[in-house]
Amino acid sequence: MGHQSDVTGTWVFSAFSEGQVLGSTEVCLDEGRLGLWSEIFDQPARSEHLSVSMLVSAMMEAYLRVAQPRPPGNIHAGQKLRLYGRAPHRGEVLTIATRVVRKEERKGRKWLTFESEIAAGGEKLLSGEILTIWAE
Amino acid sequence: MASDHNLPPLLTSVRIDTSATKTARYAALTADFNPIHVDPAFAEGTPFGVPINHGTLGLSLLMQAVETTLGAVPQVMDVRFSKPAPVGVALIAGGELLDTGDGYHVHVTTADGVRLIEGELRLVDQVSTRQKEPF
Repeated sequence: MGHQSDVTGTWVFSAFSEGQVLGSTEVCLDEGRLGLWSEIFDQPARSEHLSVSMLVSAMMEAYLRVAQPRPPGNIHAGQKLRLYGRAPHRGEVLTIATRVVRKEERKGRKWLTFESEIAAGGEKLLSGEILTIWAE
Repeated sequence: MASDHNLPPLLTSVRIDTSATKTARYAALTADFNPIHVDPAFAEGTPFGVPINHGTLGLSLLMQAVETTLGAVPQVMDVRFSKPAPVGVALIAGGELLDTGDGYHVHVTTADGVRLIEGELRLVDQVSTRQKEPF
């Protein structure tokens, strides 16, 4: 278990620490969200079982909603994903927890790795690591 | 390593033609309104010169290629975002079976073959998905 930070200004590199819990976000896979997804990928979301790719956009939304504001110019350099073989369902509420797992400076660059875990109905759907180069 | 998986040699290729409209919708979907993606005036002053697609737009497409081929299977994917793509280009996701037979070399490219995202996908055994305490 990490700790919640009480950062009040911009989330610069020094504000993060390994193990730091950044927050838990709920994302509902409602009709508005499905409509956007369908328009982007030219695919109607007809089934009760939705595309697992919706978990990626939900993960990113949760990641972007925590630890704000951020300095401009951060780079999303890499991504690890573990999918547990269960598609999300239409109308389901996803609970997405985000925390810092690694913080290091290499070759003059500030690297942060964030862990994200998506669950719904008591089941894990996705675990991911978002590898970033932080700007400041 | 021998594999029990009997997987097709290629992932079914999936493509989208990106546009400012789709980028704006993806920004709304992910709450990522970084001006590098959605503001041409801002993007003009960056090294890219024009708005670039969200990296995870291509990653989402890649997951659709996997899903179209294999379904929502348990898997581990590890990719790097190697190059940004200007808004307006086509993105094509696909992959080739690894020699080990248990996964794919995966990628997202432009229509002329520029690699934007690249990495590996491996299928894994089904494990319990019951959630313990989050973090």
